[in-house]
Amino acid sequence: MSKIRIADRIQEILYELEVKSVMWTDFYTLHPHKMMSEVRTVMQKNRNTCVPIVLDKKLIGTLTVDKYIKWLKSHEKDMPVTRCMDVDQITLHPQEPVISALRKMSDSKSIRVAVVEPDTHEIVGIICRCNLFEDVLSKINVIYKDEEVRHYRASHIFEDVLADSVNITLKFHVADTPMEFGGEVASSLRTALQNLGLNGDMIRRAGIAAYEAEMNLLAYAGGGDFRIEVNPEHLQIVITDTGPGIPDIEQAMEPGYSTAPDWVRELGFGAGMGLNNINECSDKFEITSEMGQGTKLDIIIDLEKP
Amino acid sequence: MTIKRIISILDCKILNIDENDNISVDSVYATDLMSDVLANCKKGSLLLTILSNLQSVRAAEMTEVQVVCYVSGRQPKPEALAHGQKKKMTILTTDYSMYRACSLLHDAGLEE
Ligand SMILES: Nc1ncnc2c1ncn2[C@@H]1O[C@H](COP(=O)(O)OP(=O)(O)OP(=O)(O)O)[C@@H](O)[C@H]1O
Ligand SMILES: [Mg+2]
Repeated sequence: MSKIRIADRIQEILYELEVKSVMWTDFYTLHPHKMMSEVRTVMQKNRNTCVPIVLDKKLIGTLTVDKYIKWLKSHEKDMPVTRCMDVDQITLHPQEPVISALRKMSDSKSIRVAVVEPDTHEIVGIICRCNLFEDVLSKINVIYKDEEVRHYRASHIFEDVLADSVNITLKFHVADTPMEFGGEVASSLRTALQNLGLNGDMIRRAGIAAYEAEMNLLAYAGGGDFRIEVNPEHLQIVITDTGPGIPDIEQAMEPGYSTAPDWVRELGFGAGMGLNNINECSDKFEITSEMGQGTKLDIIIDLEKP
Repeated sequence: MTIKRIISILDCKILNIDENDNISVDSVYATDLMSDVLANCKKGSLLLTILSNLQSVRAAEMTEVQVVCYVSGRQPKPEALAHGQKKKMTILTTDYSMYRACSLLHDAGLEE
């Protein structure tokens, strides 16, 4: 990756990275009934600069070290922590981007801030400004490494290999197993494409199309074969069977049209949507069939260029 | 919405939970037809279904759904649960019917 791409990527990560992925979920809290005389150890542990006061998982205030020292100095008699707590502290949402958390913390000059679930108001974590950078950096490091691995995989195949054309072919046989246990080929294909480092949306589309086709093979054709080709341009999935064939392809493609028998319907299929789903997932889709000979599906999904 | 919240709203039994149990879902899809899941269920949704065979989990896997909840007290078939565990999905069951489960989630603000 070039330096500019790295800087762009780090900036993107700061926007993409959510508070929940860098917050601490293991933190000290105080019950509102705790007395000031009892909080010393909690304050001293990990040099806490402030501790959330929590009742039934809900944040009701925070006790800062400033307030604690003030109380110590004043030699006032003991009192519940709620008497010394701050209630107008800022909080963060777990889904908030890290960059907005940083901004809020520096605007309010907060060092430690509670992360609160917006719909339940439960406290789910703590963000500490001094450690935030460390946490973000280690996260960036992980994401960056993942990306390098991904980049390596793709380039290993399509860029580093010097050949006039690079083409990876995968073959799977779909045996005539009970439809109830089918779907293994689509599952394996997803894993294979993930390992090849293809883009997530392509993998999702390929998986859905392959799965629909595999279930049709088991429902109507007594099994069949998959041939998958990956090259720098596209992903092609060709599925063939030697089943009974489809008499009217146009009709079969119509959403809602199905000849599925009861045993297929009982398994959750037979909505007449499968071929249509395959078409929706493809950039190009062709189906040919000959009665008594079999059916062939030809699916193409274009590879997204980086 | 967090998984924890969904579990408490639907009073779910947990059959498998991903170790990262602070995952959340942003939408819900309810159906018993697998092609309907494949066509319409968004990535990252909660899938509610009464269909308890292996295909309920396969359809979730293909659409990249991480949380499946069986309604009307339905228990997933052993092969379905095993595949869900292998794919690190959260697998739940609730005694509420499909209709009740949907209306409770809707009242809690979860959209399709
Ligand atoms: N490989 C095949 N061999 C023979 N007939 C097929 C094949 N694939 C599909 N068909 C026919 O085409 C019809 C429509 O298929 P499609 O996959 O769209 O819907 P379905 O399988 O009936 O229902 P769904 O896919 O929604 O569960 C099927 O009912 C069947 O009659
Ligand atoms: Mg079908």
